[in-house]
Amino acid sequence: MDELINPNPVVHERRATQRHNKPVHKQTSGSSLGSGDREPIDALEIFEHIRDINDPEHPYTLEQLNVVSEDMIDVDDARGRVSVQFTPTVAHCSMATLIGLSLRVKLWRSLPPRFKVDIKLSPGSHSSEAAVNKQLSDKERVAAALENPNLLAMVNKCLAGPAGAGAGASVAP
Amino acid sequence: MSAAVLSLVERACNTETGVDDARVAAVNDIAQQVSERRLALVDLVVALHGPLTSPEKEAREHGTRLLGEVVARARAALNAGELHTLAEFLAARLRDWPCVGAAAAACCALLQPPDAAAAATAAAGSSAAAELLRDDSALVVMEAAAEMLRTAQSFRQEERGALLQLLLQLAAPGRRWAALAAGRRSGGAAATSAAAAAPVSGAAASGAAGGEGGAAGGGGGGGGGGGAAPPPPPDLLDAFLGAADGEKDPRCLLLAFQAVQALCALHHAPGADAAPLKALADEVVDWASAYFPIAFNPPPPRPGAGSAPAAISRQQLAAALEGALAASPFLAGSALPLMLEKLSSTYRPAKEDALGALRRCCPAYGPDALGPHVAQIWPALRSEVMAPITAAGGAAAAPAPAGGLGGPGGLGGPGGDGEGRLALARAAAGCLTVVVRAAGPGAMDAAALQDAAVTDLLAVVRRAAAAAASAASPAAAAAAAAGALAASAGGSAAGWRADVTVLCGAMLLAAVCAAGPAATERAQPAVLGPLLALLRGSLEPAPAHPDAATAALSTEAADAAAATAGTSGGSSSVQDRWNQTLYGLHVLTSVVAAVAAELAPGPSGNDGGSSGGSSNGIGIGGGGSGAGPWLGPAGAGGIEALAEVRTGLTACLALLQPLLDASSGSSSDGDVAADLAAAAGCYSPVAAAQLRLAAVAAWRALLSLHAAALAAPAATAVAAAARDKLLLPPAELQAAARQMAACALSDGVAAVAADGAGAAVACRMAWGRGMDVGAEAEAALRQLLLLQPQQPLADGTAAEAGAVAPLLVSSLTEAMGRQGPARAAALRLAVQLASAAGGSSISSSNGSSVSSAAATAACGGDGTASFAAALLEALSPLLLRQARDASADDEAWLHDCLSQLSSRVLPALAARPPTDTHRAAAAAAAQRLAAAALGAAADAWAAGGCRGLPFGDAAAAAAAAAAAAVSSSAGAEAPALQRQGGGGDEAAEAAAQLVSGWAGLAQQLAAVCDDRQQLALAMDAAECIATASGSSSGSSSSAAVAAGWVRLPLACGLVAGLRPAVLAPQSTQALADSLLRLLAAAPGAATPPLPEHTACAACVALGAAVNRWQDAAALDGWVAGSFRPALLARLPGSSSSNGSSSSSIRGGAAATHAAAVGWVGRALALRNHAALGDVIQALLGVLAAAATATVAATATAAEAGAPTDMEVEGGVGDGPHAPARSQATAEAASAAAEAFGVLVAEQAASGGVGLPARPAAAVCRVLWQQRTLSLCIQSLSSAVSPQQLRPPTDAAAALLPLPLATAVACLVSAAPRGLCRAESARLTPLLLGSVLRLCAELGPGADADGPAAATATAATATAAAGGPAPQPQPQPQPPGAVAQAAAALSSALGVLGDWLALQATQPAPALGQALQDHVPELVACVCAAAVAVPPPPAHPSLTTSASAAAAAAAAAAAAAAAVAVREEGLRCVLALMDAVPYHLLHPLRAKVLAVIVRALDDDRRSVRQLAVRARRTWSDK
Repeated sequence: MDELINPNPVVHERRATQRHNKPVHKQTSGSSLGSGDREPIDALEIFEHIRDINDPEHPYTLEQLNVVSEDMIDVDDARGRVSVQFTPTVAHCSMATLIGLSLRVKLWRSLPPRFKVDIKLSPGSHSSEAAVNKQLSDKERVAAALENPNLLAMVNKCLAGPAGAGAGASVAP
Repeated sequence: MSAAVLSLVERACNTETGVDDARVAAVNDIAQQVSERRLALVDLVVALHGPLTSPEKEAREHGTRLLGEVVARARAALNAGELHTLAEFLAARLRDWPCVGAAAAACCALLQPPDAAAAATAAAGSSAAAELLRDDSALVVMEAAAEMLRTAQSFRQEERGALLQLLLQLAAPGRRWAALAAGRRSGGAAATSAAAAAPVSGAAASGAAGGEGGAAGGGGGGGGGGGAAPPPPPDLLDAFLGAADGEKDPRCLLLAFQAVQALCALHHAPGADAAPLKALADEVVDWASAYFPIAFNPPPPRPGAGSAPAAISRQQLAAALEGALAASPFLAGSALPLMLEKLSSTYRPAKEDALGALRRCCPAYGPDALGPHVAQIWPALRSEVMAPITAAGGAAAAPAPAGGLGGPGGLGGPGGDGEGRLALARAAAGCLTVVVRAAGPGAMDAAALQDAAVTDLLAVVRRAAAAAASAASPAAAAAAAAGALAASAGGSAAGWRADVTVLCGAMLLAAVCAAGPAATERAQPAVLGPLLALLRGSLEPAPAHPDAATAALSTEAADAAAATAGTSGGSSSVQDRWNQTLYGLHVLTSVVAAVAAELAPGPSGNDGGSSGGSSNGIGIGGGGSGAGPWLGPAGAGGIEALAEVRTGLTACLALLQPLLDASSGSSSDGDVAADLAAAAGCYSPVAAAQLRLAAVAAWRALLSLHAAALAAPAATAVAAAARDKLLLPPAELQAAARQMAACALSDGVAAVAADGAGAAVACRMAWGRGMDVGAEAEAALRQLLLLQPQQPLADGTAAEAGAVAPLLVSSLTEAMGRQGPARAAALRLAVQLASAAGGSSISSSNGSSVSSAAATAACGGDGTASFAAALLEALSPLLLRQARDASADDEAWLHDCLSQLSSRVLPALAARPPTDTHRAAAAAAAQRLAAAALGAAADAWAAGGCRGLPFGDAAAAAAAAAAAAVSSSAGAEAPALQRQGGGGDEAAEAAAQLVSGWAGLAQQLAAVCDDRQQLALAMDAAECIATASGSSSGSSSSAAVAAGWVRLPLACGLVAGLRPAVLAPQSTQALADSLLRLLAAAPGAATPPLPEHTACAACVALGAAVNRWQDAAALDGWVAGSFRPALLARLPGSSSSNGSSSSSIRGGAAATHAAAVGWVGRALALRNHAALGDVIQALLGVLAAAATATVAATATAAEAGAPTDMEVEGGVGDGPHAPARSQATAEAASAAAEAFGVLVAEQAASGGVGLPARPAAAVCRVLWQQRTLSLCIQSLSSAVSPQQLRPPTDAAAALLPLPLATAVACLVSAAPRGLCRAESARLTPLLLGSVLRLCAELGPGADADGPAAATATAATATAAAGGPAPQPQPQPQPPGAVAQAAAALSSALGVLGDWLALQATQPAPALGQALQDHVPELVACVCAAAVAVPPPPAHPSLTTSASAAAAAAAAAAAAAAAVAVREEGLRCVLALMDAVPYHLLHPLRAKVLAVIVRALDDDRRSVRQLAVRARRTWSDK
């Protein structure tokens, strides 16, 4: 690409998120019969899966660019539903579909198959929001996109994590 | 010969690829010949004639390179004439462009001083002199080098590097050539250029003139354009600048920076002329400034060419650049403005580099060079130190919406930016100290102390009180809103800003004061005095008479007092002025801490530890000027000033403490009572917390000052006197101890009451960082205890250290004597303090302080040991009293106390050298305590009653249980327990744990005692055991029961704690016999069985006795005559036990026998005794018996179709004893399986008592572990049939029997990992079979006929089908057995994971082969483990044999262990991919992925996370 879509994005620190309800869990597991209790899949766990996805055009993670955040994730473990909303850094971002695709693939690989995953743009964050949402929800199109080796390679690069990004950048020049 | 030489040379010059070896050999050959003088150099040159004069430039280069290599190796053999000729020739070659690299390398070799060894063998004389290169020869080279350097920019990197190396060689400081270059230059500068040919003042004067001429001629001829004039002096610096300009390669740059240093040193050498350097200084800085700050992106390491020659880092380059800039004071004029400019940059690395460079350069430049720049340096550094204020100002300007944002936690809270700025400010402060010192006294410190920042600091401190006062008076509330906010501590932006001002100011002031005594002396009247006055003023009860209070002090102090008193109007109390107290304390603390860090020897400086930014964040370590300037005569004024600060500070702390004590009571009442508290003369809770932190920090700073002064060498009387001024007098040390203990205890109480880990408060004076008063106070106490006694004044300081410890102990034991949460806190504190010297990791201490603690412990002179001894002495009555009449919550504390003492304090004591004086005291205390414990038990026994026995209700419950057991018929234990009810059961369990704790304590106590004390204890214990064994065969009385419960374990613990040397042969015999009788006694209907914990302890004691038996023959006799018939022969599996007598053995007894055999086996194994084989066989027999019994039972159950006990007993049956018997066999089998772990473990313990494999505590032969493990594996392998190890496909019966599987798992997990790896070839099939079998035990999906290998697929199938297929359920296992299996499985998987991980990182062929041979089994194992879920707790109606609560607890333990199993399994799955070639794994991939997908939906989050990683690894392939 010759010109970056967002040449100078705002970068945020990686936050130290901790599980607030952990001690509570410990307590219940300590009390004899509670040990069989399930630790439910919650929003923070989903966030842990997607926070380190690389942005397609910048060497930062989606968390650093504030594209995804914990409070934009809804999970229902019992019914197997996850809904993730993400916010592109600029409203005309052409990478929105790629980001959405990466999110979907990452969750598809990280969650049990019983989950249904919804990926959406956060309302009002993109100029062609409806079109992108429709594209991301269309499983035929998602499947077709993943058939495309170029697209799959791009997605895998996004999912490779911070270390992989470094290696990719060093090869380029 | 010449033909041979020619061919050699030809080969040596042949650089075609593929003939490297031949070439190297040829070069070696030539060098050898030359150095042995078989081949004259002339002949070589003649032979080289072709290459050296070839028109082909490659040929010339190769020839030159060969010549250089030969010269480098045969340097010692060449004489002066040859050297000179070579020098001339190589100088000419240097000017030959294609050859420049090779020639430069050759010149380097030529310039090397001859080998030291060679010189030594030459034994002086003419030959040694001849080996040196003559000066004129060197000059020739120098000329040529200088000439080529000027044009070096156009060369390749290798050639530039070679030239720079040559330059470094020429200019290397301290060598002849450097002096030559400088001396020559001085001649050249003094006279005209004609004088350049003047004779050199060298050693080789005779040939100098000729050489000079030759050099001139050569230079003229070679240079071509030189003309007839004599060559100009080789100005190496100028030439160097020509070479280095525009250099970009990091390797060359490193050399270039070093060259600058060398060249500068050359000009600064005595006798050299520095004028050229002065002239060129600006150019040097100009050149270097292009690289400042270093911006270097190291190239990514290429995976293909991995062997990069020592990668250069940015730090390396930056350090080299700093060194270059610091090389000469002449550079200061241009370099300092450069650094200051970079300092003002907004780019963070630039700032850091500038600070680092200033730090390094200023001391190198010296006061004279710095003088003109002080006026610029000071403001730049000041603004860096004060930078956080502007940040805080920004925060204040943008009004914080949440109110708390700007307050405590405002700057410190958002981790990244604030922290970074703070670190930078700290670095600037450290730099400031160095620069002020470098500038010399009176230069920069004077400017600093007159600066507005310092006077601002005073003003802010003063205003804090004024604002508080005005806020207190309601009329002026609005006017002083900002200040009032500061006082209200609500955390408003303005308040925070004031805090930051004080923090920065304190940092600045501390940095200046730390620079040297002169600066401190100067600061005393200007700042420190007024601050002290303000602090004292804020603590005085009522400023009713301000004039009298402060009139004597300086005018500013009077102002302060006036300000304090004037606005207050009498309404301000001490409590309202707490902000002023806080600020004052902090500033003075910072100064003291910074000076202490400077005084402390060694570069690490601040030895007080930096736990959470202690000493309130003045990180000025590293400057480390040492104590020299302070303790010298010139430092007297500074010392005086410091001493005044110290006394003032301690006085204020003494004033503060009662106020804090008063408010600690009210703070617990409630937070809302702040106003009330103020009225009642207390601080508000917030204020009290902050002040407490500040007080602790102040004490810590004072203590580190004390420690630094103690450690400082006092050479002269003046120094000693000065040092003594800095020491804290003993009374103050005691005061410190008292205050810190109070702080730590009150905080600990609060923590316990709040049921939280640590009540961390956001400390305002530590940049809002959360700090825990308790932890800080504890660190201070440790610091206090670690103070080293001073050698010259041994008597005084020994008393001082001794005075602190008893004081602490008495206050702590007093706290422990009371009821409530205080005792737990006190115990925790005491244990932390007493065990600090043992090197055990304490969370709040960092690495350096631990190591220093260890160091002081090694020299054995610190207060920790005396503290521990005193603690033990003081604790014993408390412990015994608690033991006698303890309530329920006492018991918890007691249990805690026992385990802490035996696990931490006593081992630390025992690890000390016996010569330690404090150890004797500790040993005496230990013996008293142990004897008293035994005695107490004896008393109670004599009294005969159950009430009021030591150890609470234990004996009562035990007696009841025993009575029930006796009254009921054999084998029917369950109804008795049921009758007793759950409560009694639990109480007995808790009491048993308590007694185990006592037994462990007894062992450790005995270990601390010396030999004579041990002997006395041993006799007591032996008597006790003998009595018990005698009475156990008699009638059962409650007295015997009590003895069994309490006295025996204690005595066994004592026996286990004895040293091997103490036991005499006869007494060992007696001891072993009575223990054996005790254990082997078959409890019939009349005698009660030994309680479980007692039996455990007795087993260990028997093992210990056997292990320490000194008379080997007697031991053999005992084993054959007593041990074998009494124990071995009566185990369930042995051949002689199948008679009728075995039916009378009850379950518990069989298990006890097996355990006892195991422990004796361990004892024998440690001795490498031959009888070990029999022991192992006997244990195997137990396992086999259990296996056949189980198989028979399941077979019958399957046949009958209804798995109830009634049906089974008919099948196996010999009467109604059958179920009990099979249960007994099972219990014995599990005990035997655990015994395999006991055999090889490094540490093994049972019933609180252990037999460690340390030579000090046991007889221990070399290689015992290897032999034992090998023997065990051999026996186990032979006990297993081969088809049991194949992954079975048809019948479950072919699986490894469960007891065997458990035994293998126990053995493998207990043995050292390294040994397991070494035995991997034999062990792998056993281990995999064991894992498979245990997985089958654990997984509910592992059905009776389904093989475990198919578990995964079957399980996924059932999951997909939505429910379990109807299958014949196996016999429900008791939950305890499942838990045991799960625990064994997880540790066995740990070993497997260890193998795989190691194989992935550093493959070993043997292990790799073993793994590859069993890939299908391996995959089946890890797959089964990754989804192992224990069966749900059995239905209550089925639990007939145990109470519901116990079953639930066991189920919970099983579930927890199963989680560990699944995690380990997934870790193995992850490691598998790297450890085993993929082509072997590929056929199994689908199966593994199916398992992983199932694990993705695990109940545990940790398992799910591992599953995600595993899925990625496996699906990427």
